[in-house]
Amino acid sequence: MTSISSSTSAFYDAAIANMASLSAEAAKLQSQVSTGQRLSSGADDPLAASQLRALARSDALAGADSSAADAAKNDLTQADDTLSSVAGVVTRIQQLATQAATATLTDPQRAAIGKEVAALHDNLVSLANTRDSAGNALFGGATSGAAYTLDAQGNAAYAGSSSAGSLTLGPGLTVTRSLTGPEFLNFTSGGKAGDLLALTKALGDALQAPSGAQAAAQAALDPLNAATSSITTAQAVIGARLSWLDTTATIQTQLSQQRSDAQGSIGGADAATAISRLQQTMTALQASQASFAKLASLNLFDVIK
Amino acid sequence: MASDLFQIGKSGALAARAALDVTAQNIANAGTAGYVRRTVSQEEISAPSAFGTVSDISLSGVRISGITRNADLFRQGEARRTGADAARADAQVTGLGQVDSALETSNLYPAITQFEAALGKLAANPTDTSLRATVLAGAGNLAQSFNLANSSLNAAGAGFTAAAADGVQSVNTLANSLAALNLKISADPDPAANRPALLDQRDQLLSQLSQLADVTTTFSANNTVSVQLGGASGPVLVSGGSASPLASQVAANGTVSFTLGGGTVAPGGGSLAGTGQAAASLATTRAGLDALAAALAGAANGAQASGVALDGSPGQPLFSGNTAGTLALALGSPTQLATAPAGAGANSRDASNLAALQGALSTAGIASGADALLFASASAVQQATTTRDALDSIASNAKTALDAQAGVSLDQEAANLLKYQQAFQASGKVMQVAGTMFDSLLQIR
Repeated sequence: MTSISSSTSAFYDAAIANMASLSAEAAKLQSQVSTGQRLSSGADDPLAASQLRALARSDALAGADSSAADAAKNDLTQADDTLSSVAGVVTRIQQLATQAATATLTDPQRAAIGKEVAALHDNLVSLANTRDSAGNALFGGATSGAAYTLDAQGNAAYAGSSSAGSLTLGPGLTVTRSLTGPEFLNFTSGGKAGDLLALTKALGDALQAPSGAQAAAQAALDPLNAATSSITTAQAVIGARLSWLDTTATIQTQLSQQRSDAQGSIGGADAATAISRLQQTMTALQASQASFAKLASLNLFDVIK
Repeated sequence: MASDLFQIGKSGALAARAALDVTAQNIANAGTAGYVRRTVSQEEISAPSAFGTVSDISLSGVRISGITRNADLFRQGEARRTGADAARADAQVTGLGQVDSALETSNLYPAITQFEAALGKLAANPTDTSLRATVLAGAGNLAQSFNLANSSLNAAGAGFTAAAADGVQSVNTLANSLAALNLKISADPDPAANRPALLDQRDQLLSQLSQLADVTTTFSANNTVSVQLGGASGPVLVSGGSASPLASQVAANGTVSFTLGGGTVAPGGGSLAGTGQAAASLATTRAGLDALAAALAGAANGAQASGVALDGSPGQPLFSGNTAGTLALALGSPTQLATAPAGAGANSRDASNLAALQGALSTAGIASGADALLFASASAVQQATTTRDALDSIASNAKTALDAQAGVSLDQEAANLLKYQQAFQASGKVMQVAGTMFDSLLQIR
């Protein structure tokens, strides 16, 4: 726009155009300084705007991931606590079975022990039917009802689905939110598969039966050991999943940090640069205003008297 | 014939007086748009020596040979050509900016992200009614974002249509004025007196016309002009005293086309061309938006159809409509979201159909499609802005060059004023000397 003008209107037009472009530049820099954002619309830098959109999207989706992680953590912690209770009950049943297996006890005493075992069986059933914070069966997989149902004789049967649901914790990261009942209640002892609830039910019934109570108590000891080790294994699995949750939480925090760094470097205005460029533009604008005022007042008519 | 000192002085005074008038006219019109600086040209009057009187001096003073209008056809043409380019780019940037802002302010992309995030949260607990309600609200917002983007695009399109119609009307008015002016110029009874003002008007009309469309001008010997639209081989808009009518047509998809006297014409410059380009890119953007809405409805409804709702009934379509304008949420109750696969019972916590919906959205490229649409629109604005800035600078240079040559410089006129004032005074002195000499002759006794 620099052109040697010999006409008055050309001089004014050029001066106005120059000052207007400087003012526009100053206004743009001022808005960068005051908002801290380099882009006022996508058209300022389409590529950066697209990157910022992708980052904001990742942030929003990570919100869903972190709520999934929270849900998984609740479920797994609750499962861990419940398994501890189950383990406590099994220990008590082991003590009772050991007691009942000794020859010194009378049958009525064994029957009394049998009543306690039956009560503990009920406890185990209700522990296996624990509900999670959302009211669903904690150990029932994806079922909407109870994990275990009792028939008319009081025998528990698993009514849940074959596997516990898994939750997405981020791109490629998943965690299984809980265990199914059979995963910690089933065991193998002496080459035979068994189930803690059936075992306890049978033991309680046998101890209260008129004969064979001592032998039944003796026979239950090995399966009870196997059941305990199955529960311990399940607790270890849950512990591993909880620690995986911590790991993914760390990963997510790092990713979130990286995203926010990237957002700053792509879309943020560098305050120092913006302010010094604003200063520079203002100086140029002031100088051109001053020189315009000087030149405009240079009029031959003033000189000719 | 001998020289006459008094006559010479008088002719000088008259010439200086005329030059002073022209200078005053220039000063008065220093700020008049389209005014071209006038200069006075003078020439000496001298009769050749008569036969036999070789050494006779025969000087008769000075006369005004003409008033020159300082127009430079090349610079005027350049100012028109570059001005048309800049006006086109400016109209295009304005239009593209409206399209871009329609997309950005609709919050389409954030709405897609929120919908997907709500789906992600629902996966943690697919039977939770409040999470389902969040998904439904997200879907409703998404549909409204599409509607909003569509109605903003409609508003921008209506603006383009109106701008085109307005531009066409202005072109027709200017063309008719030019035709009338052509008649006036060709039939001018006193060309010497009126011509500069008429030519100023003619050039001013051409300059206004070039802001609307690119014009090719052909000047004939009698100073009338014929104008073609849309390049050197374009149809004739103004020829002599007649002007062809320009008209605009708007297609169903919003694109604007023009006809001149019944035949199609494609302006390559001026605001009409820019508006046409913006309308064309609006049509492309809307087609992309409609395709995205159809893809969204297809993916979501397809996934719904392959699953069952919370009560075990087959999933119903999530969205109705398949264009950005008609897309709407079709489900009334959060329980109707089909998160469980077909065959699952009521209250199933099996979220595999929800995962299928998420997968379908990802496969259909809803988020990436919206991003691509926004990116395309923003980079179109950016590129057009870069072009506009360059063309603006070129046009501004051409205008300054024209102004510098054709405009009035007050300093120059001040100097002229002084010069012609002195010339007038000097000629007066000459007349005084002639009078004194005559008196001296009379006093001889």
